[in-house]
Amino acid sequence: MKKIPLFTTIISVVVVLVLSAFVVIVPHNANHYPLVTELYDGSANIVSAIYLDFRLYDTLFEVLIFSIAIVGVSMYASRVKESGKILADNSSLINFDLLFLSVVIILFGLYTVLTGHLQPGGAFSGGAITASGIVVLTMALGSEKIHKVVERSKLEWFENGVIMIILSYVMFADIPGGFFSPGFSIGNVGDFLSGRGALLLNGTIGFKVFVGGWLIFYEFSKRKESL
Amino acid sequence: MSNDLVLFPILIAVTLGTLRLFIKKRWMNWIELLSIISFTLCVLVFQRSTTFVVGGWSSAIGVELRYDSISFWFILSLLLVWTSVKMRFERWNYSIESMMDYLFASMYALFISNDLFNIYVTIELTSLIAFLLVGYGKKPSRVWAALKYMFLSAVTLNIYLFGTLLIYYGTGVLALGALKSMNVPKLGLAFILTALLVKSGILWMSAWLVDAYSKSETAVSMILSGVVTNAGMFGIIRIYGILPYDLKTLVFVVGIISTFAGAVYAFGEKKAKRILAFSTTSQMGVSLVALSISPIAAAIYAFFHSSTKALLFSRNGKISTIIGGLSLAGLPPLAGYFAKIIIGKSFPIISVLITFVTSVYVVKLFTPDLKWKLSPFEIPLEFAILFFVFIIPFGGIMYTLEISVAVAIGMVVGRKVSFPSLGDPFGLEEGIAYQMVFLAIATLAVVKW
Amino acid sequence: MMEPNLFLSMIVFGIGIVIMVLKRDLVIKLIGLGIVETAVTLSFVVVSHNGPLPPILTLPIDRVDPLPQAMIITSIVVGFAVLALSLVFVVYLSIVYHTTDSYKLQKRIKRDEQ
Repeated sequence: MKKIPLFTTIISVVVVLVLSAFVVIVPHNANHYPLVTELYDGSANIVSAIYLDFRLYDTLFEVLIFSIAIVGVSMYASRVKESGKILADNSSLINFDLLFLSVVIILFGLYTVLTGHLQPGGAFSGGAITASGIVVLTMALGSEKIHKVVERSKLEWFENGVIMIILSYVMFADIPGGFFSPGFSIGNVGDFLSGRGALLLNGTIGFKVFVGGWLIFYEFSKRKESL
Repeated sequence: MSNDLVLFPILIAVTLGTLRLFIKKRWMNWIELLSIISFTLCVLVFQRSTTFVVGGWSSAIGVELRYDSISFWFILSLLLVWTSVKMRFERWNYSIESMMDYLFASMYALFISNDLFNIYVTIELTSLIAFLLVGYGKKPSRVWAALKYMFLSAVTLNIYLFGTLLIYYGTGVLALGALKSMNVPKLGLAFILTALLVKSGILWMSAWLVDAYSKSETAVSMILSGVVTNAGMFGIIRIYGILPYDLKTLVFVVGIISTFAGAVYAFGEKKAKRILAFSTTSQMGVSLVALSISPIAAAIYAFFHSSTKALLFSRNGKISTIIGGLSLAGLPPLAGYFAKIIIGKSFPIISVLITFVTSVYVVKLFTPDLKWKLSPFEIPLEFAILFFVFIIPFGGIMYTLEISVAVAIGMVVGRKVSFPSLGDPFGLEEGIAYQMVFLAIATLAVVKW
Repeated sequence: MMEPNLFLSMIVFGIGIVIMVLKRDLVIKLIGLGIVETAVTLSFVVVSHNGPLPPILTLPIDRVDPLPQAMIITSIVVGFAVLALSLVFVVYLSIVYHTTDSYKLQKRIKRDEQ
């Protein structure tokens, strides 16, 4: 009885694959973005221009998706009993290495966030790198110290305050142009201060992703034994 | 600048939802209600239908939005159901309160969206909030319902994303306005249609629906069936214009099957909430049938269905159940009747049959344990159902006799006849299997050998 | 014929789906979901490949198509959110019902309701 869904799934997947193997889709060759980015945005990284300027509307919802994931994780994790902690290693040499490594990772993440409009990188990847630096830092120092930082500093407040910064950018960056129209100046392509609000938005979203990743790691690592 | 009025409710709702995380006070409820209702009403009253791109870019590079009469009906139903759920003043967790605001923002954004990728993002945000709402409360079985919902929805949204990608590959455009005049890859449309049908709650593809709707809290069930189900429906209405003929036929057939199969399943059930959940699948099928007449017919049907179903899911008292039930069955002067005669103009026999099968299971909702009481939150919904009475003087009356007779016979049959339950073939694995089977059928329909 | 690399990513998609149905353990189902998401990401990479260089304005014209790349970010974030949430749900369910096997879980839930 339990086999029926399996066989039907396999058969239908095979049918879909076989049929779509014969489908011919002619690729299009129109790409407006490089020109438009050069004229109206000024970021060297075209993806960043799309992400933080032309399709900023989507990005707002994406940030909300991220923050809802964090709220949901902390809401449902609070039902699970806390157990287990990560201890620092006994060897001071390993600890020092991990500490050094984590500092390097965090700095690299920050660099990736802040230069997201000039080269591959940006808020989400950079924020994720920085959050993984925190994971290494927790391994170096032990979870008690790091968790105290989370509990004292009210990270959720900062994390939600970022949404307010993005909202005010969306509303007030260019008041005559209407909502979601970009503010600040274009600048020269390749300069650090270029690309409209890219630096501001990259920094804030990157910070949000960093804090969010940290919070999710915090919730899971506090319940290490339950996993 | 003139189009910014349309975007205002989104920004207000997101701002209030974020503030709600900082200011943990009950009086925020009133600010939310007042500001969101007034701004949305402003849009509904003053805004003319318009197509524009956010931020003033051209539609080739920006996100295209469209506010038209279809959006009007969907936003009106969203406002009604959301307001009445808020007016219950549940003692919710504060993060849930802020999520209600985000839910409003994302549903509103979906209902004005005219861009394939934007539809994906907003549907995904809506579903994420819905997962958290379903699992809310003490019962652990709710978490299983939410997890099942999450798995099935994640698979289906990945299918949607793949379809979007195929369309982008073939045309280079994501805006639906521009796609109308292009040769759109049919395979991509088949993928997208499958995903949206799953999200809109059609038997048997939406295997999560019955568990999620019947197990969650009352207010959550109201919001799920009144608001979240409309998400997939709206997507189908938006892409219906660019579907090839084969897929349009498929939508009609699926609608008919889901209508009658859902009614049969609902008739076999005993618990009121499960009857209502199956009824949702049945009514969404009717909405698909209405879609083959015109998009606006489907939008009006979805509007009627969401207000009625939210009223019924509240299970608050005799008044709400009687008004909602009779409207769902389609007794004349209630909203359901007017929704049915729109279908009746093109398919008279199907319309009467639908009325009959609906009233057969509706009569099972009138249980004696309900009390005579009226709560303030019901009033907007009941007003919406009764409002259509004012259309009668303008000549909106057809098939009065046939439909009344069908309702009467159906109610008698529903009282006298009993029917065994058809079981519960809605596990997690089965759900994925149904989706894949439908995907295979849709692919078969579009691929020419 | 379809673009071969796109077709390969569809095969990966199918593998992920089959894993989700074949394996009864919820954690392995989650891994299957991860494979599905990766397959979609992979297909985005295939479609955007117009040239070998990253989409940076200062580089020569042989760049990849930037729009799919911008869409990937969103889909990855969504995938991350869904995976994190469902992992929490699985942890909670496994504590309450003492199993991560989906059939046993469904049986126990049915038994508890009666």
